Amino acid sequence: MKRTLGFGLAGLVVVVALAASALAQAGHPLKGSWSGDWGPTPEHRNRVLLLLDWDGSEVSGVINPGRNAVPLRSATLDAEDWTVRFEAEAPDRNGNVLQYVIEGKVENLGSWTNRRISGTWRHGNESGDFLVILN
Amino acid sequence: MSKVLTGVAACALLAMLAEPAPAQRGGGRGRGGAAAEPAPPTPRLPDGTVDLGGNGVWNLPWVTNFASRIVGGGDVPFKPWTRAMHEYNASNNVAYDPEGFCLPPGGPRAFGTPYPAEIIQQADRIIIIFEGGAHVWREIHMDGRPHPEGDDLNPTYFGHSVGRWEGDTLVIDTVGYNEKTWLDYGGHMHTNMLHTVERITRPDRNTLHYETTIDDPGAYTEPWTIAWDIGWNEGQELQEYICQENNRFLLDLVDDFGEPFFQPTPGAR
Repeated sequence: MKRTLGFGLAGLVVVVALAASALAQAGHPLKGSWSGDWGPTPEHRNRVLLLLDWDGSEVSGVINPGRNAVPLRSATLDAEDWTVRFEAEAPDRNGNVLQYVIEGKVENLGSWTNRRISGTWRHGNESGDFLVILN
Repeated sequence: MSKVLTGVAACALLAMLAEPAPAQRGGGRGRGGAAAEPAPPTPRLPDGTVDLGGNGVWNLPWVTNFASRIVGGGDVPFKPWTRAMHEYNASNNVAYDPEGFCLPPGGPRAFGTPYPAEIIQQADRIIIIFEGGAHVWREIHMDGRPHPEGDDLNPTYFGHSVGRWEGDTLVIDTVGYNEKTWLDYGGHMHTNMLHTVERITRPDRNTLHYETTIDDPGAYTEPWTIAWDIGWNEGQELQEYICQENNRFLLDLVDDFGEPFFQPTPGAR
């Protein structure tokens, strides 16, 4: 019985260790890809992928990389309280320029599996909340 | 302290007892309390090069806080985010230290992780085998090659090291670190812009003097240099130590929301 328990425990440790090695990210806390959603209501959500980088002096990034990617015009982190503010602009289907203003707070900084940013998301005339988790 | 110590930390605590004080030299284990005799001279290879190895191992000390080992004193030249992360790491008793997950220490921290190390010296390369830190090794190229550039410089835990002799000092230049480690147990962070220059001397048979300059413009406003001495343990050999075995610390680790750090695989427990 003890031996079975020991093997089971060792197996779990191996699984956990492998997961840890695959997910570890200990550099700048914003750097990486974040996925989640934003929306005006809990029922109306829009998938979001946010790529953030750190060049040593500034944070840069892009919303939904790909054909309709929206590069961030500015991205700031206040490390005093771990708040962030991202701004961007992009044309809508009619060619009107939409302003993006995203304000949030980074939480669970030490986690490799559930580090998150949440807050408010304004997109043109729409606004709502958002939550993204570090991939 | 309420946090359960990891196997790494517990062993580190034991090994710390063998740590030589910063100013202590010639401090191999088992020297007793008698008046210290002068240490034997620096061993050398037939061509006169300093021999960093021999019949023994180096007793690496546990250097928990690099800030306390800054050459000439002074403060760590934090950027705002690294200062804030250091404070965050201290606030949770460094619970999320990658080395506590049995990941390799990386870079200078390998010389401050308290397990023995062996240095194997060849003409074209120097191999350093670390008993602890996930049973890892470093390879320092001594054949004059440059660092790879661009995509050829694949970021790794220990980076890419090239070495040269400046008189009796081994100078190791390393770039290409990944971002999966902390600089030290105390939670000093770094980025993949980290560049280290290590300077290693053996002033006598029983002492290795280790010094490294940390240059990381992504994390610190200017380079800073740390140093400590390492004692020789004549006649000792490396043993097998596998950190991953029975690392129970991970089983109970929770994040800032009180949730399990990792979701156990069903049926694995």
